Amino acid sequence: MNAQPIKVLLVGHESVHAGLAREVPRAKARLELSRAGRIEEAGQRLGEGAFDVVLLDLMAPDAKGLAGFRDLRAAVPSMPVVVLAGADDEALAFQAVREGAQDYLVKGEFDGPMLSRVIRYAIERKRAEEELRQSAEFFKLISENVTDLIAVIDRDGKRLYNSPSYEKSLGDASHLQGTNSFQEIHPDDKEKITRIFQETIATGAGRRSEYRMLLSDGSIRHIESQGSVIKDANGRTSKVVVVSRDITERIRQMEVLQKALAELHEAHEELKTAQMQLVQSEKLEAVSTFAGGIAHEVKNPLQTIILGVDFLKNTLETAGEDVKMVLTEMDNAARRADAVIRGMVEFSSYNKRDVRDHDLSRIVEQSLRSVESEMTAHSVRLFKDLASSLPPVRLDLKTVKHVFINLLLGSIRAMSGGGTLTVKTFLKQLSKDEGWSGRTPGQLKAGDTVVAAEVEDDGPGVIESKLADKSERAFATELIRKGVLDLMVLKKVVELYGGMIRIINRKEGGVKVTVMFKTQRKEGS
Amino acid sequence: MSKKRILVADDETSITRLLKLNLERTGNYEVREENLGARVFEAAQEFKPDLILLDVMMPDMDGGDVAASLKQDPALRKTPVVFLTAAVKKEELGAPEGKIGGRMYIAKPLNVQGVIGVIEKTLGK
Repeated sequence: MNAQPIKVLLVGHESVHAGLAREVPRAKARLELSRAGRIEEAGQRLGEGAFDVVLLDLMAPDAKGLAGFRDLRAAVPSMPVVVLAGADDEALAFQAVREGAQDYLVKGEFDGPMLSRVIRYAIERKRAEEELRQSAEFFKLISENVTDLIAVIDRDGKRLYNSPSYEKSLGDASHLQGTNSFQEIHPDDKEKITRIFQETIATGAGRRSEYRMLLSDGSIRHIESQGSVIKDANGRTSKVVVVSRDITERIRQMEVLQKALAELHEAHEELKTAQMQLVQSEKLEAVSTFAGGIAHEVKNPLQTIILGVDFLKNTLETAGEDVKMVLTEMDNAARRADAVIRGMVEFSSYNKRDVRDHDLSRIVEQSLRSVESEMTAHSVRLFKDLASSLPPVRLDLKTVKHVFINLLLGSIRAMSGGGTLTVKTFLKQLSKDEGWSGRTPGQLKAGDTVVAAEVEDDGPGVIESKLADKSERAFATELIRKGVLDLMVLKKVVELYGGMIRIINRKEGGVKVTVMFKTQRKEGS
Repeated sequence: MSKKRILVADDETSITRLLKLNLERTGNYEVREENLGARVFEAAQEFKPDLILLDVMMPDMDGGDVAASLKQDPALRKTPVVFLTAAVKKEELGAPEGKIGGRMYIAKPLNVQGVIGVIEKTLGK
C-alpha cells in the first residue's frame, strides 16, 4: 500500500460519485475521492495543487462534448486526466485520449482494481510525458540557440532533422526534411564528402571534414563538419549526426592574414636585397680603393723585375735555351702581374659605383658600339642576337661595360685574320654541371635563373687543357699579349656583382665566353 | 757620338741600379743614380745631364717640386725631365708612356726598350 493516498477529483454528478465511491474500497491503491460538480469549479480547486488526477465525466453539466475537457487541459496542462464516458460515448472518450487524456473508463464497466490501475497508469504516463516534453523543450531551446549547424541524416544521406541555424544558408529548416543532404555541397568536394559519409556509416566512427557549400544564390560557404553515428538495437549505424560550423569568415581572415604575411615577407626580402646591395656597394668602394693603393705599391718591384729580366736577356745572349726559356717565362709572368695590377687600378678608378637595375642586352649593345672600329680593323663580321625584355640585372653599368669591351676586344683580336664574332643574350636556368667548379665561392648555383651574354669567336682558341681553369689562364695570357685586361681581373669583377664568366673552347674552333648574372628575384619568380 | 748623360732619380735603389746597368750596357748612355729627392737638384747641377728620369713620388720630396726647382735654375731650365710614375690614372691608360702636365712620363713598369724609346723621342726633339 502506498503511504500517501492518491487524491482523486471527480468532476461529475453526485450519482457518478456514489458509483465510484462503491468501488474505491476495492481498489488496490488507496484513493481519496473528492467531487466537483462542474468543470469550472474543478479548475479553481485544481489550481490549489491538491490533486494527483482528475476523473472527468463527459456528462458533466458544462462538459459540452469535449469543449470542457479542452478548457480543463488548457487550465492545468500538467494534470493527468481520465475521462468517464457512457457506453454510447466511447468514440468521444477515445477522441479525448487523442487530445491528451491519459485513458478513459466506461461507466458501469469497471471495478475497483481496474479503477486503481487506470488511475496509477494515468499518473505515471503523465509524469513520463511531462519529462519527455521538458527534455524536448530543452533540446529545442538548445538547438534554436546554437549557431552551430546540427543535422541528423539517415543512411542514405537524407535529411531527418536540421537545426534552425540552417535557415541562414539553406532557408526554412523545416522544409529540408527528406531532401538529399549532399545536394548543396560544392561539386569539387562532393566526392570527398560522400566518401567520408560512407566510411562513417561503415565504420561507425565519425570524421572531421572541411568542404564548401554552393548555395542557390551562387555564393560559396566554407564548412567544417564533425560526424558521429547513432546505432540501432542491433548495433548497426542508423543515423548520422553532423555538427557543422560555417568557417567562411575564418578562412577569409586567414587568407587576408596569409596575404599580409606574404607581403611582409616580400617587403622583408626587398629590404634585405636593398641592404645587401648597399653593403655590397660600400664594400666595392672600400675594396677598390684598397686595391688601387696596393697596386701602386706593387708597380715598383715589378719594374725592378722587368728591368732585371731585360738586363739578363741582353747579357746572357749566348746562354743556353733553358736559360732563355726561364727568362721568357719570367717576362711573361711579370707582364701578367702588370696586367692584373692595371686591371685592379682600372676598376678601382670607378670610385662611385652606381649599382642599379640594367638590361644586359643594352649593355652589350653599347659595348659593341665601342669596339666597332676594332672590328673593322680586324675584318671581323658580327652576328648579333640580343634578347629583348630580359629581366633586369643589378650592377654598375660602367664597370660591366668595361668588362664586355675587354672581352669583345679579346675575341676580336683573337681573329686577326678576320672571322665571325657571335654575340647573344638570353635567359636561362643553370643546370647542375654549369655551376661553379667548386673552387670558386660563387653566389650562382644550379637552378638559378640567369641572364647570360655569350661572346663567340672562330679564332684559334685557347690552349687545350683538361682543366678549364688552366685553359682560362692560358687564354688570359693570350689576351694580355693582345693588350686586353687580365681575364682573371674581369672574372673577379663579374663575381663582385654575383655573376660569373665561363670560357670554353668551341669544338668547331674559337672560344666561347659566357657572362652570367643572376636575375632579380621579382622577375625570376 | 758622345754618350748621353742621364740622371735617374728614384727612391727605389733597385730601379736606379737596373736602369743604369741596362742603359749603360747599350754603350750609348752614361747614367748617374740619385735616390733622395732633396739631392736631385744638386746632383743635376754637378752631373749636367742631357735628360732626367724623375720619380714622381719620392718619400722626402715630390717629383713635381723637384722639377719646379730645376726650372728655376738657368743652367738646368732646358734639361728635359721624364717622370717615372707608378700611379696610372684612368684617363692616362692605353699607352705605357704619355704626358703629365705637358711633360713626358713613363708608367711603371716599362721594359728597357720602352724606356730607351721615350728617352730617344725626348732627346730627338
